[in-house]
Amino acid sequence: MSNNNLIKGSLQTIILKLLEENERMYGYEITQKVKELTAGEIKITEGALYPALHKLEADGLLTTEIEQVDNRVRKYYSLTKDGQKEVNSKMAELQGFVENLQRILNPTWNPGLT
Amino acid sequence: MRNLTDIELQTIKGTIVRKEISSAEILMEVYDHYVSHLQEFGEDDFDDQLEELDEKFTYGYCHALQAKFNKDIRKEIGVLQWKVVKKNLCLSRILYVLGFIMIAFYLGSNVKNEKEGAIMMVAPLLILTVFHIYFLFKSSRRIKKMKESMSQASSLQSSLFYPFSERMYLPVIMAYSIVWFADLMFDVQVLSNIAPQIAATFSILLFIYVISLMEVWKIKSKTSLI
Repeated sequence: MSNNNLIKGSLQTIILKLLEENERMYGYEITQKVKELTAGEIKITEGALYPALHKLEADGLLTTEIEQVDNRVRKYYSLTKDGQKEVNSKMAELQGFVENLQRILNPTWNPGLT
Repeated sequence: MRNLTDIELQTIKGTIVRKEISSAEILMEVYDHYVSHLQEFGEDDFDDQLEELDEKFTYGYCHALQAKFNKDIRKEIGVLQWKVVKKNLCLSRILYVLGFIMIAFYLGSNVKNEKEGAIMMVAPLLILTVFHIYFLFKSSRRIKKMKESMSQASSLQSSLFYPFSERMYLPVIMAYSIVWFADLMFDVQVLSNIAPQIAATFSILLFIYVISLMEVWKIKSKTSLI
């Protein structure tokens, strides 16, 4: 199943949420974690992942640290204070979007509407 | 997960070097991704998996990623430097800043001629020059290991190297203009009365610039190869 287009808009939220739960992660680890959590249904492509990570870093939402691992340098990403604040707002935004999508796709499903 | 053999690691390095990546940060991230991925597969699958990775990390993709990263870094350094300046102006540090300003104005009040004015204005640039030499030494040491490991040509450099160098180098090449301005201050009647104050203000601003740049380097040196 190709979810690439659907994932695109929520990739930053996914990254922020994963980093909130895992403290620090490196690029490849993020792709594997998403694959594991979705039983392989969602695959984050490298083409989208690294630009998104660099963008979040430049926006001050992520900070990085480098570490020597088996004779190579590994770059770990973790949330900054601003990033921690941003997770909740991004999550609320995404959840609101999913609920609205549900209402469109299934008009009989209307939780929260009076 | 298995340990890759030396031959396999050399094959990966060769593949990545062919992409002609010049950013050390991008290179180390791509290399780590390749190795982390290939460690998950057996020796029999190595060539297929390497080819699959190569289709994802194409020459064009790596260079686009690098260009975007370099652009973001320039923006980030500017934003970070401004944040550092603002942080130093907060209540808990304002007493130090005020003390520093008072000392600068006291020294400024003793400025009698254009020579002393020029010395005061150029003083922060001396710190910047010494810092620049230290920066060049440190970053070349940090990148040396990676160049050796990847057998990479001399083009490999941290993405932060040039943005930092420019910020250190530009004020220094302005030194001649600063000396010329000091002469002008004492020559022009209107300015000569307030020349010591102008020299002190100029020196303070330049000091703030230098100190904030050094602090940004201190922050970024922990997370990148400079």
